[in-house]
Amino acid sequence: MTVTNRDLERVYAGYDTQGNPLNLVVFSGPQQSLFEMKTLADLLAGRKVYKGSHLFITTSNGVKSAARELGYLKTIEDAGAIVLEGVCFYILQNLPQMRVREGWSNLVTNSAKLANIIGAHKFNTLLRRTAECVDIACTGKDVR
Amino acid sequence: MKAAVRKAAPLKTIRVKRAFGAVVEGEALVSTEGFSPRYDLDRWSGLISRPGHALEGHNIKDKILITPSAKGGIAAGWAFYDIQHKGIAPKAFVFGVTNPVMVQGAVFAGITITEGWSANPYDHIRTGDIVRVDPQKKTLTLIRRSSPAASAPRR
Repeated sequence: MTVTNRDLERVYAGYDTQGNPLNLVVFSGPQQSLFEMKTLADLLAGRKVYKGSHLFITTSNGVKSAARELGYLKTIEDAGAIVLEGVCFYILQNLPQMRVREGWSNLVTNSAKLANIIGAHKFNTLLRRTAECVDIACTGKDVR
Repeated sequence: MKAAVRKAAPLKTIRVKRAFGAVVEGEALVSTEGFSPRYDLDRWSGLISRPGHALEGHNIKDKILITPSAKGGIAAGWAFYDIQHKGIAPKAFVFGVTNPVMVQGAVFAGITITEGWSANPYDHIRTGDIVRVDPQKKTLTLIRRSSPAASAPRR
C-alpha cells in the first residue's frame, strides 16, 4: 500500500470548522515526548496563545521535569499553553461539562487518534500538522 | 396444590472460553464493532456517543454487552470502575477478544467479563434478547427472544 502526500492532503482537507471558532488546540494522545516538547517550545518561542483560546499539552511527570530543566517548559508556558502531566486529554473526567462551559466546539490536534475518538464527547475535530496547530493556537485562524 | 413452575428451556447456549464475575441475566446489546469506554462512550449517560459507532445511540446501562473486541489501553480499564460508580455500567462484557487491562478493570469494578466463544453469538443473539452469563459454567445462554422493536436505539 502506498500513501502519498496527495492522500494525506486529502485527509487534512476533509476537516472543516463548521463555522465555529478555533479556540481549542490539543497535543495529547499519546503524551508528548521530550523531543516533541522541544519542537513545541521552538514553535511557540516568543509567541502567545490567541486571546480566548486554549492550548493544552499533556505529557508524563518525567518528561515535564526534564522539559523544565532544559528550559522548554518555560518557553511553552510563557506562550500561555497549559501543560498537564500524567493524563491524556480524552480521559479528563469532566470533559463534556468543560466543553460546554468553555464554549468549545472545535478541537484542533496533530493526533489522528485524538481526532478520531474525541467525537464521543461531541467535539468537531480538525487534524492538522504540528506547526499548523501552533499557528492556529496563536492566531485563532485555520491556515488552510 | 400449587402448579409446578417450569423454567423455560434455554434457546441456545454458547460456551465462552474464559470468564469471571457473578452470574447475570439481562438484555443483550450486540455490537459488530469493538468497544472502548474511553473512545466510544459518554461516561456520564452511558450512551455510545462516538459518531459512526455500530451502536451509536444505544445505552450500555444494565445491558449484556456483546462485542468482538476491546479497544483502548490501560485508561480504558480504569473507566470500568468509574462507570460502575456512576451507575451506568453494563451487567457484563462479553468479548470475542479482550486483554488483561480490560480484565483487571472489570474485576476491580465488579462487572462480569468473558472472552472467546464456541459459536458466533451474532448468528444467534440479537440486541434486546434476554441472555444469561454464567462465568462458573462458562456459558452465554439465550433465554428469551425480544420483539424486533427492542433492537432500536433507546437513549
